[in-house]
Amino acid sequence: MSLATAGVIEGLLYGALAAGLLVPLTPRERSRPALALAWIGVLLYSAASALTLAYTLSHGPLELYSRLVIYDRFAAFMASIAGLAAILALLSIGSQAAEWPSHPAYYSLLPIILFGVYMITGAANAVMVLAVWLLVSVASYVVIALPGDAESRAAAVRYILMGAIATLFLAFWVAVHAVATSSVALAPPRTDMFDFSLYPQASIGALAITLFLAALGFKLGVVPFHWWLPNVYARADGRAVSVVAGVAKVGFIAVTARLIYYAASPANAKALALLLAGLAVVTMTYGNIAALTTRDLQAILAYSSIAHIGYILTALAAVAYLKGYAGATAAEAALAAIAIHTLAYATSKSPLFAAIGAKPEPGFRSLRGLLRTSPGAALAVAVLLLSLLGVPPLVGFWGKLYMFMAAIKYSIPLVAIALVNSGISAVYYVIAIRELAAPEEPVEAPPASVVATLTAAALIVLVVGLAAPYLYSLIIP
Amino acid sequence: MATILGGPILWLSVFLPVLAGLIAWLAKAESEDAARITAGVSAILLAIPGALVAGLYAAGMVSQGVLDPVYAHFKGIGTLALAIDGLNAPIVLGVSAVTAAVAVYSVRYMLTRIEEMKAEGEDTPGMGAYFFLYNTFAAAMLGLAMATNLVLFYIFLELTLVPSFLLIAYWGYGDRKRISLLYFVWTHIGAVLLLTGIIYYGVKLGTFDYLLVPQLKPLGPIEGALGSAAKIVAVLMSVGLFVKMAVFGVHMWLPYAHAEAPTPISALLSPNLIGLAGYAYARFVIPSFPTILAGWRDFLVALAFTTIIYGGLVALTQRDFKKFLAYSSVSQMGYMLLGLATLTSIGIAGAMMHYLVHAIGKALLFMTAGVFITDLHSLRDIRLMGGLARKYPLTAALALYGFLHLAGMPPSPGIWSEWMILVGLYKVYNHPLTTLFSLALVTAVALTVSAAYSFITMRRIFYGQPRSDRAREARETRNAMIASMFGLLLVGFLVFILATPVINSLMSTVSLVIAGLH
Repeated sequence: MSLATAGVIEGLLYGALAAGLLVPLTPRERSRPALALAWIGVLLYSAASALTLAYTLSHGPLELYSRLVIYDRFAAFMASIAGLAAILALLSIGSQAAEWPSHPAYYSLLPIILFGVYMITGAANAVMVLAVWLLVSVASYVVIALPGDAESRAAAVRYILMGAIATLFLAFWVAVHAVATSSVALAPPRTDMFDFSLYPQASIGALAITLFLAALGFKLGVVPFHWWLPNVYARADGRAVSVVAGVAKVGFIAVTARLIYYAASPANAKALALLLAGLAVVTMTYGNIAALTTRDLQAILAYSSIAHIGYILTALAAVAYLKGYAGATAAEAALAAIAIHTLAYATSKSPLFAAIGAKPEPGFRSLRGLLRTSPGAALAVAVLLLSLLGVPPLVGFWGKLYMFMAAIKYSIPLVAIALVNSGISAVYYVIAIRELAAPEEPVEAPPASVVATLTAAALIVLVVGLAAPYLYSLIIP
Repeated sequence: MATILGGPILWLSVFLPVLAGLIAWLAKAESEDAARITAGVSAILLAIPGALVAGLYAAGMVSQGVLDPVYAHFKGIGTLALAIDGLNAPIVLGVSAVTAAVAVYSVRYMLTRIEEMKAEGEDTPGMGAYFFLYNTFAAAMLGLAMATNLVLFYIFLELTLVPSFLLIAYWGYGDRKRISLLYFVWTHIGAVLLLTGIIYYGVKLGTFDYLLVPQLKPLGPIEGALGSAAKIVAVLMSVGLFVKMAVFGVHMWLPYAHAEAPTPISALLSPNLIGLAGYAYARFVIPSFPTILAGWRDFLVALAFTTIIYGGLVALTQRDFKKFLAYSSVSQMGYMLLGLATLTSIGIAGAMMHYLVHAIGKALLFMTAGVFITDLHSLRDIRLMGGLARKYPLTAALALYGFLHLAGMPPSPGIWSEWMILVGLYKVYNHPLTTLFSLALVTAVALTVSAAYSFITMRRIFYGQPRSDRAREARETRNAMIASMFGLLLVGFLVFILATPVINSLMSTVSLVIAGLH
């Protein structure tokens, strides 16, 4: 049974990868075949992740590639979120990417990134993480550089520079992990990343976790590794950012959460939780204050991405603490909360970045007066922003609620700080929403594909929000 | 044991007004006739829960409570249900009566306002959008009053915030962009402080329920279950609700928001929404933390008196009629808090009664202000009024009835609520004699300030000589605005003469609320 399912899933994934790899063979002057292949790749991936989710929900963990990849409910849910975000991104961008100088690359890279996201989400092996990390990272650099304008290229250079440093940390982590956990000197190094009992000394384990967190901190934009993020997310083409911030990031959140879940033990839980809580506080506070200082929509979305990683870190601190002191079930409930929040994050960010990128305008111009020119799009944007703010009954509210419910078992002050931050964030989200009805010269209606995507995403955010308690009870064991 | 209703009337009474508003918006019901139809339908739908409450009072079914048959249980969240019992029946009645009356009142006011904004070259959304937001706001308040679970409560709380923010931002006066933002952020911060407390409550107890379904009994004291964190949670919930309620110290946002909102919305914001925070205090804070609150009693009583006197004195100095009303709301919230702070059944019952009293009285007065704004070219400055009783005899009578609510005088039910609140106060503070005397003195000051600002303002607006051309040339017209105000007057008068079932069912339910104190 498991073998057959595994075969089907692997087949679907190879199909997705193949679709991506076939794109360069399509004629350059026509974008249709490339777009069709991208859709095939994205849909095959979505089928694979949905199947994984169905399997893990009914049968428990799913092992692939001789335990290099192990899927539990959390990982399967996260992989499915990436699929959903990719569908939204592609729906919104559609044939727009054909205007870019090397457009086939975009259609080719989206399925390839998804393939990598699948692997990194379920990764159970350090070398596997490194390999897929490189795949996703390099593909992301190219995506950011694709639009070909000066800003995008400058952003891509910054992104590559950051990526190189982060990769160094990650490689160092793999090395420490492999060397420290090999029991016999001449035996081949063991690299299964979740087995922390292999470490001979706790201090080496701590070093490994620190290196890992530094590497992933760069990718996720955790303060103090965040400096590159506003430049890339705010200056590059929004349509490219949509893929990096909405799709690829889901995989990085998943692998971070999983590693922390497995790393935490009664011996290190307190220190690990404290470290994560500290990072959470500085990250969300920085993100929110920085977002308050800018009057540019894309920059606000960039900074609010940092703030959202801060909220997720709050829940990760709870994962570490609860795993150490309250047992696996409580920690898994916190992981499920992160999954709900990531769903809220990805379904809002991916279409919003894509919509801004479709018609880049400085400041708030891309929203101004949208209510008159395209009421449907305006309403959808408002719903997505309110979901990011955490207004019930939208899914963003439930993500925050469940995350903070988990975190409050660890520390009341931490949750109070997180909620005050969430309260402050009302300012910039509300300013953005107000622009939708501004009386001054309104912006033109966005392309139909963008309106459709925004509406679809808003409906998802609303419907999933109404059903969130059910969804949550599905993910928790 | 609560009676389970035959159909999901309570959920429908929340859902249908939103649906009606949505249809009006999507169907672009912008013309005057279409707006009238929308207003009529909305008013009928919004009046249903009030009529239901009246029927339940008549049938004597309020004390043991009624429960909507549709409810769902979620692990870790609790039961999401809607119910009416003795404690929230006057609240539901107040929200229902005011929102229904103001829906009718809105049509003429908002058409004038939209025309005026268009004349100034501003493009605004039309009546359809207005009624969608208005009905959502009203329905969310009904849900807030009937919820039995903190998550549901918070959802409705935020659902009141978004439409009311947009209503101020679209059709408000003055620097409405800044003021709407001030309103949103302040009350949102109040809400998240409350949410912090709510989350801790829910996580520790494994449920967010504050009323057990289907018995409709309070969960009872939870200080033991929360341990050392109980005090923090009580502080968080109290501060969160006090911000919403605009108690002295965290009241700064209110005068701006309530004065500059479009007047029909002021009539909902001011008495209905802020008072709901006081209701919430009785609903889940007092029963959950009786011992902690008993320790805070003196402080809360002092805070309540400060709020009454401060709000009243500042109100006296106002020139703008609406700002005057906004400050008087701060003062009236002081009375509600006073009743709650006594922690006696009669005091808390008085506070809930005062919600209903203030809802009717303050709505009548904001509606009076709206009549002048509509008829007299945005006349809001009290200094330019005067002598309006001769020009506007009906409005003057209605406004006088509103002022009687604020001053706590018959034939308004204000006499009952203030009497109950003061009985509660003196039940607790009756010795030593020095305490009694000093409190009597403070009470006298508070009541004098309330009476003073009510009647001095009444005189400045309606009597004496007109002080401007606009006031001199005024003439009353008989229209739907006046008719809707008469509707509210009728509700107020009925509550005055038929107060017994309201008070009796309140007293029997409140005894459960403060059960933990004894």
